[in-house]
Amino acid sequence: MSENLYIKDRFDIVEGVTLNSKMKFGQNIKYEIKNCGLLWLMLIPGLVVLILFKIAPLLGLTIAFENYSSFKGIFGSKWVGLKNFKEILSDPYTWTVAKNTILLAFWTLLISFPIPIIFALFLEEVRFKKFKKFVQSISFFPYFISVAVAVSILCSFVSPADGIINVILVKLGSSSINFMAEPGWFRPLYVLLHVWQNFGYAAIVYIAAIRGIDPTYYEAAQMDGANRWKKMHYITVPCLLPMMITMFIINLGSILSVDINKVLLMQNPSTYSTSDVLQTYVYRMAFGSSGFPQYSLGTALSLFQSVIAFILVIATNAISKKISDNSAF
Amino acid sequence: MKKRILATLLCAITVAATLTGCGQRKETGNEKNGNETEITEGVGTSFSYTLPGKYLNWLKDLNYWKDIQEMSGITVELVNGGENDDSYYQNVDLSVGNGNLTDAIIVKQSQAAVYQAQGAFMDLTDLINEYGPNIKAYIEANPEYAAMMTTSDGAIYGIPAQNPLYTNLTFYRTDMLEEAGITALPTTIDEFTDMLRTLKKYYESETGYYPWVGRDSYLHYAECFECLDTIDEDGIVHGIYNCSLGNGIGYDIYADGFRDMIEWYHTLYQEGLIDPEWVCGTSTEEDWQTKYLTGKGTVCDDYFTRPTWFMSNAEDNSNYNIDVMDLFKTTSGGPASRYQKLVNPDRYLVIPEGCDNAATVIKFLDWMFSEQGQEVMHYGIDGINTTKNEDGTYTWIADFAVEAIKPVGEPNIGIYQDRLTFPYPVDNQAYYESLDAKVQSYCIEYFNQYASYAKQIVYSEEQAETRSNILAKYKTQFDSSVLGFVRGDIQINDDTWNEFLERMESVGYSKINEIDQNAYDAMVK
Amino acid sequence: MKKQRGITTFDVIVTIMMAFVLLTCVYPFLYELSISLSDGKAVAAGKITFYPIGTNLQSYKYIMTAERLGIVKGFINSVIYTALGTIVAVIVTFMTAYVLTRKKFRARRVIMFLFMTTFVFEAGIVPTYIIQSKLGLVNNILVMILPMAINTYLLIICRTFLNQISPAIEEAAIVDGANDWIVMWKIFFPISKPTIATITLFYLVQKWNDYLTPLIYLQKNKLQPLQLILYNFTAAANSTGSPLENINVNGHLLSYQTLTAAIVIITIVPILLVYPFAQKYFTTGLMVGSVKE
Repeated sequence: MSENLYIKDRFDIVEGVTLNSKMKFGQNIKYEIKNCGLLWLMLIPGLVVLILFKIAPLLGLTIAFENYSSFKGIFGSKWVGLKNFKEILSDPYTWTVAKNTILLAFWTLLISFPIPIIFALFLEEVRFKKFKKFVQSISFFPYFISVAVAVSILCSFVSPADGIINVILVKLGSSSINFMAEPGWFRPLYVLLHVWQNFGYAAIVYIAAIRGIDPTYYEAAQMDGANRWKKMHYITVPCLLPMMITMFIINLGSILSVDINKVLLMQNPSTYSTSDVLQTYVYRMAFGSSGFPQYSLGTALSLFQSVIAFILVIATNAISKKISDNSAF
Repeated sequence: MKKRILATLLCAITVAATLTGCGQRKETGNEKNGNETEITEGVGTSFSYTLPGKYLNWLKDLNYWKDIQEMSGITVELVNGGENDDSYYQNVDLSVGNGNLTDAIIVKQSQAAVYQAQGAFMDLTDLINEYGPNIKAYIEANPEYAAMMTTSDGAIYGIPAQNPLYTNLTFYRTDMLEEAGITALPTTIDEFTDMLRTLKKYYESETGYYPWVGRDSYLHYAECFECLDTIDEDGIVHGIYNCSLGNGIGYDIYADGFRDMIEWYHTLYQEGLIDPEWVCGTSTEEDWQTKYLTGKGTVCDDYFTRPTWFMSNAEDNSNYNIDVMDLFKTTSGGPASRYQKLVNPDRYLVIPEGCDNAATVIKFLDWMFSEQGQEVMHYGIDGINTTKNEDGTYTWIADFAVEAIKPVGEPNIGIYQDRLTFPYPVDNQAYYESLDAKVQSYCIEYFNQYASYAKQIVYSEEQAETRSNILAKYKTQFDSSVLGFVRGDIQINDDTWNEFLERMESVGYSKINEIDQNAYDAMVK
Repeated sequence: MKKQRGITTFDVIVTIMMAFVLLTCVYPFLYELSISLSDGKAVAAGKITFYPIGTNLQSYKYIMTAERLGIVKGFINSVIYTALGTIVAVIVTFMTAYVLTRKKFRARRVIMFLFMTTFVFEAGIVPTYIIQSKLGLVNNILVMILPMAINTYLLIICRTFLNQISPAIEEAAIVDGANDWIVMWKIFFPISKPTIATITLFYLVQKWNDYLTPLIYLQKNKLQPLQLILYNFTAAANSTGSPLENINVNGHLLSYQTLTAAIVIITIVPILLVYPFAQKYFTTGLMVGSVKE
């Protein structure tokens, strides 16, 4: 292909329209080098990271199909095929904990997804600049509190003896409840803690997106006499939609990975019926009294979870592409 | 076009993977080609040793660490393998595959056995025969110790550290008992219950007060109810064996005493004699400490040095005083006993296969097992830590009170109770004498009377794996079922009790018991 | 924008919401700060609510000067790892996101798919360790910089932002004869300030808080960052049966609770100071005027 293309041709290339979509192999390479050569060069660092640090370790998933020993390595360990999976799936206790895991993940996603959005929307409506900045900075704080500290603070809030919640309850006339010991309260408390720690952090993305919205839209709406609710409804939310969809799909990808540290700290014998999840079960097997770390079982389990998450992500991405032209990839 | 790009990338990945895999295999190949049981020539003057960071720091702070190295003639290079226990053992697992271990390393018993069978660690028998006469003599004189470190084929896979003989003990606030008008200490469970009732009545106006507070598992005194996990004289294992420690796992649920014990806890819970948050598992260690420091509890059954800790941390209150009560008699009227493990299953010293310096390591350990070495490890350096008297006893010079509060980084006499850095024979009397005066005043008598070492069981690789898998389920079901009884959610009667037993069976009680029995039989043969 | 007169109910609702947020978010910070400044005995007695009792700076003094703890070295290490790691990560992520949003780059769907796959499928500690140790990253500071140079989550966010930039800008640049590299640096980079600020902030926080990577790969004490030291301190205190020895300085008791709280505050404060600077870049209307429809 000649060096000097007409401007129209170059625009076509930018738009992704090739001169001749049925190019031969050799011409394909030439096309890539000529038009995207620099791009490929710019992509090299990213590609290196992708291959070396993200894809290559995935080959380690073969551990799930072996009886893995650290000493024998991946290639030296005995191949056992689906034995690990059979072991997990045939154990009736697995289904109990699996149910808990799914419920916990579902509720976490349901509640913790909208809250950062709502917070971002309302934060942007605050008119006193200093107050707005202050609140935004502070909303960030809980993210830095380690899980251990956060759980201990939660415990002291709901403590049956002198926790604030129970003091209020007693004043209102009912008896004090040991929240941490009630199976029914485990999920709400977990979700609450999760939301509290993450909402400020998650909201940042939405805040940046809202601030990137062209103000001329708002001016036009103002001239049409729209009040603030209407502006939010007709401008902010639709402009935010691509970001919301992307974030939703990404969050689906980690749906089954509950925060094991939080669960371990919050669970106790009274609440095992709701608080015991797959990850803590595998953790106990590995680090129990005579435990020998079960890398095979643990990997099999996470492979299982990943497959489910993968299916969810692909499906949702395809659906959202059909409906609204927006997708994560 | 897309397919081609995908294909190219996949090729690149495959290449990368192959290189990795080849590298791995080469490493293991080298390991296996190395010495199987070849004795390496000569004893060197130093070796490298990996241990958890915490113990490394203790060693560094020990004011006679240099002396130890001088006396044995061998320098030790200490390598930090990780600070916290869980991550340390995980790092060991990861490094084993990597092949770049130091000359000696501390591992867990399960790791030592499993990896030795696979060829990662050396069989130490020949080395000990040649370079470790003191070790050899000790092993021959102590077959129970030997059993914990030898495979069924007779290979020695590691040298374990020993625990001094200590157990939990029951302590109480003397001033609170005095105020409540209690003059006699209880000697049986029933008397104990009555004492708790008196305390409860006296302090009923105090909000949040419960006579008995604690942390972790609440099922104490199984030895008094005669339902502990034991191995009887006929060699039959009762219950899920946990070295007769109970601890929330080891109970013989078919013993009559077990049902009695659960009913007793139910009574305690109903009458508010035991901290309900503790029973439900929602109380942390800090909560417990706070409660005990502020007088929201009177009695504890816990670690034996806790009384001094509490007394030194209590806010300036001259009345705050703690003393220890004797262990209650069993329900049949005889004396009860508490148990301790002799061998610490988390501290095995192993030598990786292919190590050139193995002889040096064994020589060093041999010094620790020798008379001179043992004297230093138990009594420190003559003239600095202790002085030797004419009749062979030792007097401690160093002041415990001063040493205990020396900050991290300053050399001290190493008064920490579980200085688990090297395996060497434990001397309990020496150990007790090194503690502070207050603790000595009650613990020597208590342990002499009530404490003994329990039999320990060694499991094969499959046994250990199956056992911990089953335990992971069993424990949660056990805990929640027992809790249901204690809290009163489920009435205790013959029907519900049988249901409970059936449920425990269904999650594997007998399977674990069987494994324990088989493992014990294999050891005894 | 015309200024509205007076305070509407909308404003009141919003203010109440924000005040509530403020309270819940600030409290734990105050709590930790109070503990770090208090006397250990008061802490053990459970008296601390949101102000210190027996105020003293001894905990801070101790951890700063205690050589064995290595707090100062750890702080410096953390700063180095975070700064280097963030710079590398932001550049690489932005470049990759840019390339993957150019329509003429036909491989973009495939490569993005690969990224998403690695996002969903976690490889686990063991295989990652095998690969990274083969690459010589154990006890090597590069382990804090290279492997996490691209966080897929942030890559996707970057892409989403870039996709919303009108293609007319790129076309205008091409008319002027610029190549891809110049277009990216001179045009897209300046426009994307909110995006870049966002991912810089996220990377900064992530790398500052990371303790899992050094836990496995950086065992040499002199390489350890602050978060790992904090983690070791709390973990070491809880693992053995015997209580940690306390230290008495000038009559004030330094328990492990006060020392831990002091370390916690030292780890949090730098990030909180950085945040207001990043906020500057979240400004409005950078897009205005750049494209005439």
